[in-house]
Amino acid sequence: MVPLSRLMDRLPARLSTKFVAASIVISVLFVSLGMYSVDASRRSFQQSVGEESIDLARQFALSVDRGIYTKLHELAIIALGRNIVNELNASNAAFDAMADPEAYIDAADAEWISVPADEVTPFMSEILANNLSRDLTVRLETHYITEHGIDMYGEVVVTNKYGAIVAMTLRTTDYRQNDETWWQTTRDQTHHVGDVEYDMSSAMYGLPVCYSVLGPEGEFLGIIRAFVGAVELVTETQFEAEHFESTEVKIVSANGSMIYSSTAYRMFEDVSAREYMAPIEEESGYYISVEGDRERLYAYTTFPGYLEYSGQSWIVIMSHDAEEVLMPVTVVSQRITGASFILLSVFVAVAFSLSSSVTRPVSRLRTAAARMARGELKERVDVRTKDELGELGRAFNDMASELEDMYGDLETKVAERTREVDAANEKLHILGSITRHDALNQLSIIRGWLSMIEEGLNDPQMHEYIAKVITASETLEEQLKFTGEYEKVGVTRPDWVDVNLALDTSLPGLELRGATVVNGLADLVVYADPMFPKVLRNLAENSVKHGKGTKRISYSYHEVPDGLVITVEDDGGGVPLDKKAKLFDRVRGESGRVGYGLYLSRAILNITGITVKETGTLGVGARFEIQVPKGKYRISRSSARDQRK
Amino acid sequence: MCTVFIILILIASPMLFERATVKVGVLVPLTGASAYLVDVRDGMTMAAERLNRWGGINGVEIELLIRDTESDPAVAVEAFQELERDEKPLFYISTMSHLTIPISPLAEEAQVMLVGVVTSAQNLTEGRHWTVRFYSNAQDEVDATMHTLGVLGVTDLGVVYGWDEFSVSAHALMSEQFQASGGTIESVQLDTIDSDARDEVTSLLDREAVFICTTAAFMPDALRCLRENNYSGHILTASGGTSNIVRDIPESEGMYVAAPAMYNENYLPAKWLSEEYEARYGRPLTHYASCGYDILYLISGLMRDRELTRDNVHDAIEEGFVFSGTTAPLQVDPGSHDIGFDLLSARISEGRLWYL
Repeated sequence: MVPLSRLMDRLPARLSTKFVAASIVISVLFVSLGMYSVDASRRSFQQSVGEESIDLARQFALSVDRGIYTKLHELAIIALGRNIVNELNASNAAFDAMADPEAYIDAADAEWISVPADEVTPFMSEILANNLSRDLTVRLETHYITEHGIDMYGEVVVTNKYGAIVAMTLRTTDYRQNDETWWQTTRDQTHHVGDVEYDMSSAMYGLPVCYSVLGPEGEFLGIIRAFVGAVELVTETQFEAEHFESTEVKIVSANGSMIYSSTAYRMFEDVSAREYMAPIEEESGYYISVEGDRERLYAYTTFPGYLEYSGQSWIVIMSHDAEEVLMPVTVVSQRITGASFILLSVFVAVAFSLSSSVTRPVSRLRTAAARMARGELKERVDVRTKDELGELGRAFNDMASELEDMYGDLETKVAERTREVDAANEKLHILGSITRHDALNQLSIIRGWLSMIEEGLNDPQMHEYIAKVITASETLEEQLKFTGEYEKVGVTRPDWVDVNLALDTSLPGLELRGATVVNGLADLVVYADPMFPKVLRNLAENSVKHGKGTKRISYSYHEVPDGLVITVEDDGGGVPLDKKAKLFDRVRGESGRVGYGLYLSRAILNITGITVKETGTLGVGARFEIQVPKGKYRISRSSARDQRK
Repeated sequence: MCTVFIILILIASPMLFERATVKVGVLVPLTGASAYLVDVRDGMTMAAERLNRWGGINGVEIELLIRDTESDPAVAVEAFQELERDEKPLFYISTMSHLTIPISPLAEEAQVMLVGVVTSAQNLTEGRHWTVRFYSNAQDEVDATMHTLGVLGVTDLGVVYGWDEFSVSAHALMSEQFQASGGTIESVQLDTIDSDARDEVTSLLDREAVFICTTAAFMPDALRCLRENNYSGHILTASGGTSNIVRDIPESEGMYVAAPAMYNENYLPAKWLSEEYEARYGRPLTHYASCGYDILYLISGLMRDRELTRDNVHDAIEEGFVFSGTTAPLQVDPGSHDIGFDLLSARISEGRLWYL
């Protein structure tokens, strides 16, 4: 694992960037931690609300079951009353006395169902108006309307032991009731609560609640059945379950039919395929699903029953809008997000401030060091802090003072030595110049006298000797002239030379013997000895002098990986192979005279590290490649113009 | 260039940030004789705000486009036309029979659901496909009143009824049924909206009971007149008698009224709404307000997971439903255009309603 400090060292960035990057990384870590905490809190809170909602749903289911039980209990109390027992005893006795009570019931039933549902026969009116019917109306129906504001009961019916109606609060659909499942179940089990159904007589959805009426000896006397409105029943308990503003409650049967909803719904609508039903698998649970394009937190549980009432196989589903439920966490999340942004901003600002407090002195040190490198030894940095950077600045200033002192001594010494060398050089120059001048004068005098002697002599042998003396004197003259030129090399400091201009100004006066010069050196500037133009002229002069019928001399340049090459080439047949090796040496030519041109050229070029070599092909032409290292040339019209200026 | 771009952005920004809403046209008299129905607006406003807090209808915010019909049918028609032209609401809520009946043909033509609240005229929805009633009808008013008369044993009844569609239809039903039950009846009608009920009522002082079969606006004057003339018989009113403008006057003491069950203090669904409403508006919750509240919740529930179109609103109501509202539990059969609730016999005593 790479240490963080080493990783930072490897980053190709400025200190300030590293500081800011580090601060962003740290703050992002903080923010991520915050977000993780919020997410964990959200999940935890969701679990807490989910479990609380399961409890609420369970309480709600229990309330509904208790409500149903209460209705059962109300019927049980009525069933124990003397009024109903007496009425049933009387009715049963009357039916017992009949020869064929079943036939009577069938006949009455046939007549009953033959009458339209909205009509009431005198027989029906008689039952509706009897004491028991009126008592049931008051005790059950009227009570709930006046005391609870709810029309809880639909139809309430009492049958005798034969299943014939003895009392009723509404006109029932038929007279015989013992052919109904609820009647038989109630007779067998004392009490019965049916599932939700639509009751024609009551014109409402509800569930039948039935209780057997028994005599003093426990004998079966008949059954009281009340139809309890499903919505009305749940409406009473729904209020207690509203925990959040967006709370909704649904009751769904085991096969996925909607039985109740606190929102508008269609009774018995199949909702089993709804998205919110999919996660319901166990006895209870909670989950988040979507309904009406909104995320909601759902909790569900089955109905537990109450006392001897075992409950229905329904599922209660309680849901709340997820946004409302998770509002506390959302508020915290928003606060953490806001704080994170503030934290991030502060981190970045502090990082900027810190980095600039570090990088500004460092930058000043770097600038001062660069100036010192350029020789500005009086450069010092302004030290204001007392930290490590302040110490570094003071150390730098101390070092600069030391260097200034040392360099001051050195400069003095160099100046003294330079003056001494200059004086000596001047003396040597004057001595060489006078000597060379005097020697050349004396050589002229010698050659004059030798010419006069030669004219007066007839001996061929003497002519030959004199010619050799003249040649020797001419060689001596050239050597003296070379020393004059060579003496100039390196005397003046190198400078940027416009090569194109140098070629143009060096060629005038040169006998080109019909050869054409092509100047392809535009825009090129090289750092060279001021005698650089002589090199260009010397190469042209050699092409004309040594080439065989040279017609074209071209100057061009091109860049190579390690610098730039100036090419001077001609079509004069080239340099013989045996002469290439010593081409740049001081050598004596076939005429017996010593060639100094290329030697001098190479010396001029070498002053600034420029090299030259001949790469021509014999039979084609000579080709000189002047290799200019990087940093010693520029290619730019502007730079060339600048240099000219 | 940059400036032009910024200006364009500023011009376009309202369009960019304009959010879709479920528009509901609400035509309610906030001024004029029926201004007491401001309760409907307030109930709807509470429902819309509460629904909007948690996603409106299917995640789309509800926008109530409330227009004052000034208790004037012509203004109501203009308001409907203006909304239909400019806003195209998903559905309309209108109050009062005489203000809703003129709009009904326009709603039929525009094929948009018009829900009448506090609209008891028996014929409101007859032959209509796009008009439904969310209120008890004239028959419900008569049933409750007949029950009261039965309990009181009244056989000689005087009726004062208004000129509007509700009063006329309720009176017709009352006359028919009361006479069918063996009673005698004498009726007087208020000619216009500006009629002084006092003059009409004095002719009924010799009756065993007087039934004020008008909208709530006319009841206070009629009541005062009866009390001032020391009328000793029973006074009965239609459900308008439960409104604050009637219940709050001392002359209402001992009066019988046809009332929805929600005024029962043990009726839990209305309890929390009552507390919240009173805290917010400083007056007791009425069934007008709870109806306004319920209708928005009802349609919100019916439109759950349905595309919000006018046809779907129509279909959702047509399919029938069950709804446990704050006014009453409702069970509506498929195809029915009467979303009604029963009225019960009640008596006003010390400003409170006692059910018989």
